[in-house]
Amino acid sequence: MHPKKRKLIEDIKKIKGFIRMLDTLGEEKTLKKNEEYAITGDTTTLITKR
Amino acid sequence: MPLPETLPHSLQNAEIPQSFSSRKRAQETVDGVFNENLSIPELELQKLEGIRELLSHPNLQKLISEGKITFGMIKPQASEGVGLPEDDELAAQAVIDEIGENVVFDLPFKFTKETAGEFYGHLKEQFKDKPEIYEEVIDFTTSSGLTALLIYKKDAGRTFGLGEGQLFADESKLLPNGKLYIGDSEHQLSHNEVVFLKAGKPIVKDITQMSEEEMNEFRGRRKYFIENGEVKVKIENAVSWWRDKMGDTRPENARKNNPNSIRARHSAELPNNIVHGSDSIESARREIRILNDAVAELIEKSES
Repeated sequence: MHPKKRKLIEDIKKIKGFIRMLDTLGEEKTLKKNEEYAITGDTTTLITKR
Repeated sequence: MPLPETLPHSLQNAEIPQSFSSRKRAQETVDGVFNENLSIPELELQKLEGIRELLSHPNLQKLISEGKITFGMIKPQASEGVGLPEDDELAAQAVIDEIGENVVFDLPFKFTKETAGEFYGHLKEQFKDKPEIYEEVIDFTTSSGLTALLIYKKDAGRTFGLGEGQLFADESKLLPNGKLYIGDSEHQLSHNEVVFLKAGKPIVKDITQMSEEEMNEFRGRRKYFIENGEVKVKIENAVSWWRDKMGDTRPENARKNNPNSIRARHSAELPNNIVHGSDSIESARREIRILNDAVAELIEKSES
């Protein structure tokens, strides 16, 4: 496949994926009292505090 | 199975598999089959229509207000940049690759004099005593194609725990208990203190002593603070993140203050400092609206 065509297909997929995310905005997970997102470097993980 | 009659002619012979391992896979596969049967101009139009739908989405305004979205641009004549490929398109792609997954889309296009005038209208007022500066910017911006970028910072404005600690660009380290190690010195973060991140390096500030000017300088930046004996981190907004990644407007200042930034490493002579970024959330909203108008015009031209 032509590289330009491949890039366009990838671009369209990413755009459609972002639109799908926009459609579902506001439906994020609600954290429980003992849950928290923690960050190390650029990675975030959900942790359960004791 | 015959395809619906409303499909474009180019898709009439597309072979679509009948079953998939998941709905997501089905969506991706069908999209892929449809896309592969389209020509490059048809795909370009489909991309433009996707961008138009995205930029017109009501929830995008919410993300802009939350500081999660900003507008960026790779300026014309990117190939003049230091260490970039000699072809403008390849040079732009090299910068996009450096930015990474935060780019939602990149769109090559060309500013008309009219759109560039609207985009840089504030400079006309700012440099009313030196109109040649405004003229130079407009001439340069319209000299050849450029690449518009929509940048997304998913976790902007949210507060996190610190996990195992944070290692910074200058190799200083902040531990979850508030101990900050810079070189050979050790500092215990107090409740009045906040660690801001600038050019990847930590700067400790007593928030009760900060001037309004300093408050403005650090607004929207990543910050670390103590809460219930543990360090928390509030992620910077997309505008600050992208401006930090770009570096100072003047290449010599970028090289001095933020040597790892895009402008420090790639800038040519002004006005070609390679990249542009909105300077505030309101500017991002305005610049994205201008892009959306330009995209609508491009679609209209493509269809006529």
